[in-house]
Amino acid sequence: MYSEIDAIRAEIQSASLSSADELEAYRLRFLIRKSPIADLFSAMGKLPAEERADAGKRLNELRDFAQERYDQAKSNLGATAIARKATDDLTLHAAHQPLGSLHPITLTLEDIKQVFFRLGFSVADGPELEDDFHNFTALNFPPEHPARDMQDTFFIRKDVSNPENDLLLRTHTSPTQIRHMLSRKPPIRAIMPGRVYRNEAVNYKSYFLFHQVEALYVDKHVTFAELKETLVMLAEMVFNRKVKYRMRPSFFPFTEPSLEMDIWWDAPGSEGRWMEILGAGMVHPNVLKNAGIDPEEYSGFALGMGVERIAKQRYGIDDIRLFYENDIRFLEQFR
Amino acid sequence: MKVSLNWLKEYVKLTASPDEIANHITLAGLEVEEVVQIGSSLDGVIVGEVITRIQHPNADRLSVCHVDIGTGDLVQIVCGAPNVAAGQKVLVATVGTTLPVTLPDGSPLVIKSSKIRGENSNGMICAEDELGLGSDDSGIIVLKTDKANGTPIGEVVSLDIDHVMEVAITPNRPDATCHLGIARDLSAVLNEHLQKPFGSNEPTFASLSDEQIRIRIESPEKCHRYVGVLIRNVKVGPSPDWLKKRLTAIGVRSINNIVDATNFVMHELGQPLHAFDHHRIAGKQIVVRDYPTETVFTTLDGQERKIPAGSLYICDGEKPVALAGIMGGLNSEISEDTTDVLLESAYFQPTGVRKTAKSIALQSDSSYRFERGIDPNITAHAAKRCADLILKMCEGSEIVGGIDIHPVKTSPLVIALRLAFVNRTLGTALRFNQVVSILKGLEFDVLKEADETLMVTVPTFRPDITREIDLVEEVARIFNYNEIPNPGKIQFSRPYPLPFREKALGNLRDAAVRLGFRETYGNSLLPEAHALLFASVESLIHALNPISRDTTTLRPVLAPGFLRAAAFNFNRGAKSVRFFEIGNIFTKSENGTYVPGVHEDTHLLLGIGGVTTEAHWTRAEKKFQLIELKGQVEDFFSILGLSSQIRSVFVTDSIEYSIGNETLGHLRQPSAEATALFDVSQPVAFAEFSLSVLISAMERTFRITYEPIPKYPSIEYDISLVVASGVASGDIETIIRKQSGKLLRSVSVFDVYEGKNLPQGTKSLGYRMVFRDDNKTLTIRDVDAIITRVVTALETTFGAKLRS
Repeated sequence: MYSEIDAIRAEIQSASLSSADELEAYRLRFLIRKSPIADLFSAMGKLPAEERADAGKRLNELRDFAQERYDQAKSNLGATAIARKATDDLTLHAAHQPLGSLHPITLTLEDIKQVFFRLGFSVADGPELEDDFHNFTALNFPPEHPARDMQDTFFIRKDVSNPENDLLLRTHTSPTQIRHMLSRKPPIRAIMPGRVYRNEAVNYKSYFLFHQVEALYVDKHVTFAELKETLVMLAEMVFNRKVKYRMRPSFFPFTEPSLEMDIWWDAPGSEGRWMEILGAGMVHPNVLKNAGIDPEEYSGFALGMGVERIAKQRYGIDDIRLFYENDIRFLEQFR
Repeated sequence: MKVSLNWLKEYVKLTASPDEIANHITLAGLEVEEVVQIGSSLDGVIVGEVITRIQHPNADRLSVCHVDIGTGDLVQIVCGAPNVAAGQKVLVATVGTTLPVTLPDGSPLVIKSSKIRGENSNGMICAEDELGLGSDDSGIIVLKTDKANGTPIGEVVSLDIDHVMEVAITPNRPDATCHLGIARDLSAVLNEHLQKPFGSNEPTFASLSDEQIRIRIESPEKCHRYVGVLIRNVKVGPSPDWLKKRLTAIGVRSINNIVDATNFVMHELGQPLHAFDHHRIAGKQIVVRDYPTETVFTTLDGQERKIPAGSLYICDGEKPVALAGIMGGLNSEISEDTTDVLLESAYFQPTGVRKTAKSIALQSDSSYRFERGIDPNITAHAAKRCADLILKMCEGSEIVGGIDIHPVKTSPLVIALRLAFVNRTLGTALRFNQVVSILKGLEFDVLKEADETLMVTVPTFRPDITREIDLVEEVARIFNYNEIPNPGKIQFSRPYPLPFREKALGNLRDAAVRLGFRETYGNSLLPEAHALLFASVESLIHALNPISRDTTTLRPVLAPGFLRAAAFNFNRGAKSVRFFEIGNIFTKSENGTYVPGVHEDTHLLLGIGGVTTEAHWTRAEKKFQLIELKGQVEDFFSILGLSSQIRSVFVTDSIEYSIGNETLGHLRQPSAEATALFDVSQPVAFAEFSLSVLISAMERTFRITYEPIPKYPSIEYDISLVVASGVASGDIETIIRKQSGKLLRSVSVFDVYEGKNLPQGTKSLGYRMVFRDDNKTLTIRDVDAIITRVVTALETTFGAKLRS
């Protein structure tokens, strides 16, 4: 009997099952009730009792093997047999939903804000159409300061009787500092982001409107050293790396001492250079006084930076006008 | 402002490299934007010795020389100089050397091996002008040197290399508008002695008779001081090389020795000076006075200018001869024949000069300095310094005498400086003597008082220093900001919460982006015609001084920006746009939001245009449909959690949205006029909302409260109705909701049809209703009664027929 089992197993093994006809022939040979395997099961009764158990086990294995081979071949054959439609082609282009996007200035500004929020700053808001008092006078601009010229600032209304009432488009977000200081008592720690205007000709590096973020901190015992530390923290968080920097004395009417901060910019393939990233300083005592804060009791620092400038660096944009053209081919690059 | 490094070295010892010195100046607060070397280091020019000289066989004026340049072999050079001779030590430009000589095509002269009239020439024996060392072109330089042949030129001749720095002068530093001022900062930073070109005593002059000159100031509030010095027997001519070099290095054209002397002193001491031809001063008198009327005056640049009333002039006995502090007149200019010169050194008050200079749009080196405020006490020193220079240049000339009229005197300010205040402000631990040494270095007089206070006398060349805090900045900038230790940590008081608006703006942007909108940044300033499409002329706000007619008017709404962006992109081949913008708008109002008379609000715009969905194999192209935007707007409100509060009123092709009794905004399409004006080639629509209304609604309601998931299933029921074409679906929906009661959870339209198989003037609408009971599973029998009620009501109200 064992030799017969081996013979059948060899036959099963070598059977070709590559078509439906061959599969059917196989089924009719091995899997119907009158098959050589069934015959062997019937013949088992003639075996001596002590051999039956072992023979039964082997026959069962043979029968399972025959079935398995059939099932597998059938499933292989079935898969190729079902017709694939043209639309089942996964190499076709899939359909897409319109993806929204944020403007690069928003992306940059929001990143900068997040850094300030980590450093404990809140945020304050003010108008773009300001009066002279908040934009100039309270910020210690002398009456004859060139920024007050028509050449530099867009005026909306002139008030000859009281120039402090002149209306204009704010030239910086600093007037919001004044409004914020007048609206609450120290400690004050907030940023003032927003759109500002300068009466400037339009070219690739200047536009008559742009965006700024300023920060203001007023409390007891605020020092210049702390301003420096804050600026370093800020620069490292905004650029997300250690930065090589320098701080230069500079001049703004509303701070004293004043500084500008440069960071060393190594663009790949070009010579490194110092790049100015922000202006800052200790809030001028006159400004504190104008905002109702005693400069002998409190001190503070303020800083400001241009969002476009940072965005241009970040994304390698060389023409500021691109920000306001709203060309989809530009906007879609910022996801 | 251009600053010559060689010039600075006359006043302070500088040994560091030009870049290091530039860095010191920058870190002291005067940013050096550029350092340029002028003059050539003449690499490749070396000492040679003419061993033999023979006449060139083919040219009378040329010599053929064999020159030893230290290489071991003699080099043959053809030379055209008449003075070349054997045995001379000369300067040889070897092959490959670039010389500071410009060829007619603009390129520099590069020495090459060549054949000159058939003779080989491998280099050039140089004359002074060819090396940029002077103007002598009569022959080659013959050296008196025993240096070996082959020695570089730099070791035998002092090369005139200078470095010129472009320095940005901040408006608070009038003292830095001259070389001495910058040298002073450097001397303080480097702790080096400042060598001033004048002494500490006020100079004195012999007095002048009335016949020689009389000087009178009629407007002392505008002219605080006037010094006139008369010099006779001058000889006007070219300046000596040293003076030309100083001026040309900083970009000032050399004119003649007299004018150059005044310019030199201005760039040295910061005091603008003017030289009059004494013979041309009518009546031999100088009057400094205002002109009450507009006058026409010809300045020495030959321009005839209209000068506004109230401007300050220097006049002679008959007429104006100079526009005070700005520019002299053509009528009193120094000429070649001038023999006697009246030098003017004066202090003009800054605002007066600025006003006049601005009104005629003329900024001169002189007005630039007066506008910022020069030292009122250097007047006589500068006049003396200039007169001495002229005397040195013009043999036989002499100072006749001088007059110093000084009606308004400026005495130095004294400010108390507390050491504790310095350290408290800076966060430093500076010692008394450090502070004293810095201030003294800047020529401040310092007197120690008790209790750690200094009495600081501010020199009059520093009008910017008026308060204690200004002195703190002086200490900090000379100490070097970067040397002030960073504490490595910061501390701040308990932060206050972020305003709701900040969070709301983030949510609004997120909502728009989730719906597939792209953010744009539009212009706040528009052509008036664009603004007028959306607001009345009375409500518009204009700039008094716009840069162009395209930017005269503040945007009253965001819509013009959207139309512009849409047109821009359609014209560049875009098939569809889907934009949002958040920005401020401005209109006139009775009260005003922040400033009187101006309503300023932040708006948000959602706009779509062109095809809704581009053609794709999975779906057909979907053309623009206004209703698409309505859906987006509703989704937008839904994301913000405001759906239940928004009321919509439909007016033909637009929707007005409101919350409570406040108008939130509109959804609409632009008028045909607007479409044409903006050149929008595809259909577009936009919805614009007031964020002051929207954000306050969000603040009142923005909260998500979880509701339990329904325990029992819902059942759907569809009905199809045939109604007259004019019936609005919204009205049918209202009836369905009213008749269904609270079991109805939602109703939607799954089909809209008109055309074949329907009677003319009718349409078919399919509604899907979803019912659910929170307490049990609904069966179709529970709903039947409701459906019957709904259908009956629709039949009665609209004559609707159920479609089988």
